[in-house]
Amino acid sequence: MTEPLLNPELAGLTEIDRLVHEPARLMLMAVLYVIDSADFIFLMNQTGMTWGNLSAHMSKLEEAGYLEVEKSFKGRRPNTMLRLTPQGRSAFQAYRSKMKQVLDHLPE
Amino acid sequence: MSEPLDLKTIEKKAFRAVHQDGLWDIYIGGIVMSMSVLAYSTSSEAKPFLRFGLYLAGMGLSYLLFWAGKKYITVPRLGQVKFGPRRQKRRLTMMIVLAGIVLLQLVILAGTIFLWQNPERAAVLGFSQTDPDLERLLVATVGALFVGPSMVFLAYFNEFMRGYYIAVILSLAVFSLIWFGEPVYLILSGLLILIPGVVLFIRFLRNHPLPPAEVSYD
Repeated sequence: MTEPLLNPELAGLTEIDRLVHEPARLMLMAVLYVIDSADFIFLMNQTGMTWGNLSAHMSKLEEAGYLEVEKSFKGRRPNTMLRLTPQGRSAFQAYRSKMKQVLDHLPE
Repeated sequence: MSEPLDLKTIEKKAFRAVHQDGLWDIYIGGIVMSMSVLAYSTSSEAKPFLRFGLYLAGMGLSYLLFWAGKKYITVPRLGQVKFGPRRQKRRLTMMIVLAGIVLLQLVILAGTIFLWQNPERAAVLGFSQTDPDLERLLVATVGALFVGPSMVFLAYFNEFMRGYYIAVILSLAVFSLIWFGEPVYLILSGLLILIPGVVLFIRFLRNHPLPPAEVSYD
């Protein structure tokens, strides 16, 4: 039997968006939040993630509607740019304020 | 987490990453060194069109290196990025400021040519052509002030810290071109800009190996 949550301030933590909360995805979303768009290589360089890891996290963000993929051609070369959707931006902002709110209320 | 999540710092680092390949330094260093061909004009008997042709060829080669370096070396290693509206607005402000500077420079240049050809009007305004050294010093100072501020603004708006150093060297290069008329000062100034660029470029290549071909999100 589990104990009921005693501190009501901590209840806010259950509302945290787990998709954003994962450190690698949080890092990716933070980079994409401050820019307009970037390609895969730029994101790999900025985050230090491997291609496989980055690809897996990008897929999850795309499935959630947080990320949009813009495919075009530069000359004859395919050019894929990744960008946060308005929904993704709101999710990141909401996560940020939620974390601030919860952590600021915790006693020292 | 060792450091707080500072979004401004993340954006700045992403933005500055674009200038860490040293290609700007190599490009500007190349331009300054090309200018040394012009400085030979005072000391050699070479035909003016040949000198000017060589100068333009040097400028063209510097630009070609910059363009090809960005396209075939930097971008495939660093990736592509488009910055947000704040940066785009800043870029527009930079263009307006630079256009203003160029306009001001053109007015000064036109005024200088006019006064040069009308010594009596120049004398009325207090500019006399009696002292050639003073005259050359004035032209050299104005020339240096032509390039320095433009580079300072470019450095400021692009957060390109080495740009301030380049602005000083560039001003000295133009000053020495006019004052001394000796190509060696220009070659030295060019090298002082170019060498850090080459060092940065080598460091960039070491830190950013070419990613495997499968790296894409197609």
